[in-house]
Parts: sequence; C-alpha cells; structure tokens
Amino acid sequence: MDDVLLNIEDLHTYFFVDDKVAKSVRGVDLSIGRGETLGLVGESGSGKSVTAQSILRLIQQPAGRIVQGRIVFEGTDLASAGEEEMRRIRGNRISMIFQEPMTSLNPVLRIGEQIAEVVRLHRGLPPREALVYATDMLAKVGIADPARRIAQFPHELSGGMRQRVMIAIALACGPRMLIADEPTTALDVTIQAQILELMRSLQRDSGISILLITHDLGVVAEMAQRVAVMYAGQIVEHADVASLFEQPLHPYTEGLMASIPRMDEPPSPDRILPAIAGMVPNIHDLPAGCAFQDRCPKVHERCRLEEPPLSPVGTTHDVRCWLHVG
Amino acid sequence: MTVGFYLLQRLLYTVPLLLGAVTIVFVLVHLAPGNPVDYIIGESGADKEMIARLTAEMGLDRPLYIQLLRYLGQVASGNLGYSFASNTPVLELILDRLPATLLLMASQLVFSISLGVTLGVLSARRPNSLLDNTITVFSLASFAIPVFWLGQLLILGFGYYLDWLPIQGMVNLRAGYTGFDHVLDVAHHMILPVLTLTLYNLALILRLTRGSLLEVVGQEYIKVARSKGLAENTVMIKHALRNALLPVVTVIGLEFRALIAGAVLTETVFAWPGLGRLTFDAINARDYPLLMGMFIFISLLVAIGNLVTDLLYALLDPRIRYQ
Repeated sequence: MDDVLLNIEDLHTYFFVDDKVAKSVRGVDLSIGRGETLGLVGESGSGKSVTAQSILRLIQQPAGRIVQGRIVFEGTDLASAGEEEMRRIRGNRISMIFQEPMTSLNPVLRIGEQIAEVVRLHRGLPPREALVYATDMLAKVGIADPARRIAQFPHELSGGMRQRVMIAIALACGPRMLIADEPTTALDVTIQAQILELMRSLQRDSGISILLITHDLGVVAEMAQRVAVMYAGQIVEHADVASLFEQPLHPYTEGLMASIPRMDEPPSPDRILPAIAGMVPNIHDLPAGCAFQDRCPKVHERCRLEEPPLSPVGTTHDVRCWLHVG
Repeated sequence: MTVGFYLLQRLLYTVPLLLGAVTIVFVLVHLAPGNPVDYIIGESGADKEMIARLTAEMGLDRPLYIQLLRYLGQVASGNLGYSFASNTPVLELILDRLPATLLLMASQLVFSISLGVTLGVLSARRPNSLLDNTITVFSLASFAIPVFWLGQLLILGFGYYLDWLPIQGMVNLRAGYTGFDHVLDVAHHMILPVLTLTLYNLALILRLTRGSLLEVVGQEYIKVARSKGLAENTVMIKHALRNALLPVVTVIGLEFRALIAGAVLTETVFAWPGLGRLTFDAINARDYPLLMGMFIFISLLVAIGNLVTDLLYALLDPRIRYQ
C-alpha cells in the first residue's frame, strides 16, 4: 500500500511499576493513510493516549516500555529507532498537540521563542528569521496581531489562543503527521468548533495526516474518515465513520453511541442519560476472555472463557466480539 | 508600575521594619543578664561609687524607654554611638569588618548555588539512580552536621593533621604580603571557612532544586518540549530548570538570615575578622552600642536580601509584576 503513511503492527506498551505490570496497550494494529484523519476513541484509561505517545516514544520513562510490535513510519520502525533519529522525527515529521492548552506552553518563555525554537532546530533557520517565521505561523493559525503576540507570555493569552499557538508549533516544520490528543476537550464548545475548523482547513492546504484522539464521538463524526474504538488496551471496533455510526457492532460502541445526548428527540421521562454500567477493568488484573464481559449487556458463556479476535465484518468494518465472529 | 517606583516603595517599607527590629532587639539586649559595667570592672571589685559613676556615664541609670528613645534619636541622626569596649565609633568598627564578611558570604553563595543547582539537576535527571542516592546521602549528611562542628572537623583534618591550609584569620600577618600575593594569601585563608559554609548551604539548595525539578518534569509543557524533538539537556536546562528555580530563589532569600547566623558561627570558629566575629565579641562584652549597631546592619542586610529575592523572582517569572 503506497498511500499508507504510518502502520502500527501488534503494538504492546506496558508500564512496569513495583513488580506490577500495567498492560496499557495490548496488541494494537492501526494504519493511517496520507491526508487521512483517523479517529481513536475510547474512555479514560483505554490506552489511546499511550498508543499515541508510543508513536513518538514519549512514554513515561523508565516505567513505560514498548515490549512488542512495530510502528512503521515512511519506512522507519519507530519502535526500534535510536533516540537521535527519534529527535529528528519529533516536531519535524510527526508533531503532537495536547489536551491542556493552559499547561502545554512553558510559562516563562515568550510565545515567539516557543515556536521559533522548533524551526531553528529542524530547519536550521537563524534566530531572526526563525522569529519572522514564527510570526507568519501565528497569522496562519488565525491569531490577530501576531507581531505583538510573539513577544507575549502564555498567561497573556486565552485558552483558545494557546491551542492555536500549540497548533502553530506543531505545524511549524511542515510535518507529515499530526497527533492530536484530545485537542478540544478543555475548550468551550464555540472555541472547540473554531479549532476543529482550523485543523480541517490546515489539513486541506497541507495534506497532513491526523491521528485524532478523543472520547467525543461528535468530534469524530465531524473530522475523521475512519474510527478505531479502544477498550482496555485493545481495538474493539474499527470502521469507516459512516458504517460505524450507521451500524455500531460492538456492544461497547453501541453503549457509547447511546450515551450521546440527542437534540432531535425528547428527553427520556426520567431525564437520565443512558450510561455504560460498571467501570473499566483494572489493567493490572484483566479477566480471562473478553475485557468487556463484566459491563456487557449481551455477555454469554464464551465471552468468559475466550478472548475474541478482531475479525472483519464486511470490507471496511472489523469488530472484536463473539456475537459477530464466524 | 516601573521598577524604580517599586524599589522606592520597598525601601520605604524597610524603615518601619528596622524601627521594629531595633526596638525589640534593644529591649532583649538590655534584658540579658549582666551589663557593660560588670565587664569593665571585671573581677577587680571596684567600689559602689565607681560603679554608680560608670553606670551614669553610660546612661544606664535611666529608665529603659528613655534609653531607647535617646538611642533612636541618635540613630535617626546617623550616629550609631561609640563602642563601650574600645571607645571607637561603632560605624567605623562595622565598616572596617564588613568587607571580610561580604567576601565570605558572596563566595559561599556563588559556590553553594552553582554546585547545589548542578548537583540537583544531575540528581533529578535519573531519580533513585546510584548517582542520585550518593548525592542524597552526602547532602543530608552535610546538612545535618552543625556548622561550628563541621568547621572544627575541617580544621582538625586539613589544618592540623594534613597541615595543608591555614585555620585562623584572613591573612598571614607575619608574611605581610602585598599586591597579588596578598590576594592569594586571602584566598588561601578563605578555603576552609567558605568550604564549611558551602557544604552547609549547598545541601538545602541541592535538595530544593532536585525536588522542584522532579515536579516540573511532570508538567505537560515538558512533554511538549520533548515532542518538539529537543535534546534532553535542552529540555532540562531551558524548559525545566528555569521554572524549577522559582521556589529555590524564594528559599535562598528566606534563608538569608540563616546565612548570616552561619557566618557568625563560622567566623568565630575560624577567627575570621568579620562582622560575625565582631558580634560575638560584642555580646561577650555586653557592648550595647556596638551590639545594636550590628543588629541594625544585619537587619538591613536581611531586608536587602529579601528585596533582591523579589526582584530576581520577577525577572525569572514573567507572570509576576511589581505592584
């Protein structure tokens, strides 16, 4: 496949703390095409952020380790690449933006410097030109009066503006791929819409691929072409956006869909939003069989004994559930 | 608000601060048992008339509040009085000793901050590694040993047994060096007292730097810095250290008085001709005017130390403004 930019095969990322092993990612397969947006969905602790951080090898050291699998990006296996090579890729070929714009910028460095240092590092621009470049980037992400803003500090900017600055930093070196880890979760809905629109228009201009991590299916519906749903360190369902929303197959995905409040229907008489019962299983102590068994309304005998494989249902839809195997 | 205005405002604040400090210390000093008359007469056993005459001469027969008011009036006109013990103007005595103390304090600050921060960074880079644990044990040990005892141990080791370094005073009086030789001679004499003070203060700065850095390294902007492809050293020094130094600067500022207390002990142990030694002698002689002059100076030093801390803080952290 020529148009595949990044291919993750059988990724396992574990955390080793005090003789305990937290298997945060347990055999994830994913691929992202050029110019494509892939949504990675799941609740807190499902392993989606760890998957993303594994790609850039930014997992917390020394506890976290990629124990198995390959992450092939433009012919290079990032899982086994040297630290030096990873540094050339980070911020240059693959960039990342984070959830909390209020804490992702360094409070004691000027906005201009935080953008300029990436261009100096990867593009080798001299300081003055790097600062001019930073000003242009700020204008590009829709920040008014960029010449004034580059001399300011993060605390002088609003949350939405800071996330725009983060996007400017991430895109400064023209990367091929952007990992956006909950980029709009901490923002107001109006700002959220603006940031999503900005990401879409930048993607149209540059053809960048986006791995969009979110727990918000609404954001996925708006942004992504394909979706992977993660649960307890595994992908439980993987489909193009249309078929996932039309026909969610995994009971977990169904539960997620049902818990979205709907504006086009009257509220239920008790006004209680449907929720998925129970808690995410403890990754230190996973049950035998399917990881979702204790919360699944359709659980049966086989789920408690054997772990279901991720198997295709149709051409663009895979699901990890005994109800849909064979 | 401009820095100039802020400075002026802060300097004005020090006036009531000094006034309060002087009053409290004045009362405390006079409450302490013994008085200068006893010291002057000593064991000789002078007659009552003589004692009464001396007491009246020094103004010690007046009520305490009158003595205080007279002293304050005198200080306000810039006169710190004469030392009871040596009959020399107090200001002259203090200014004569000040450079020696400043030399000692400045050198140990430079060494303990530079070494403390460096070791703290090394420690925090790999927490709980062999290097980190070694540094921790060393720093806790040097922090736990009282300064005066540490000074005496060093004297015993380097001065007495090894005989490498001078253990008393600031210069070799018999050699009478001049010019560059004099500078070298002073530096040679400084090694042990500066080492004593550095070992003590280093530990605090090191522990603080390490703890503060470990906290900062967990922040999201550090992850962002790494995701930019920056080298680990750049991440640590440029992105983490500057944020981590904020609490360190605060504590150094707050500990300024402890530095002075340490200087008094160290100067006494090493017979260093500075303010600390002068204070020690003044206390022994119940030399009220000299003692009061010393306290005013020390209060002033502490106030300046706090002011410098605040200015540095604003310099390091753009979120802090002068107001």
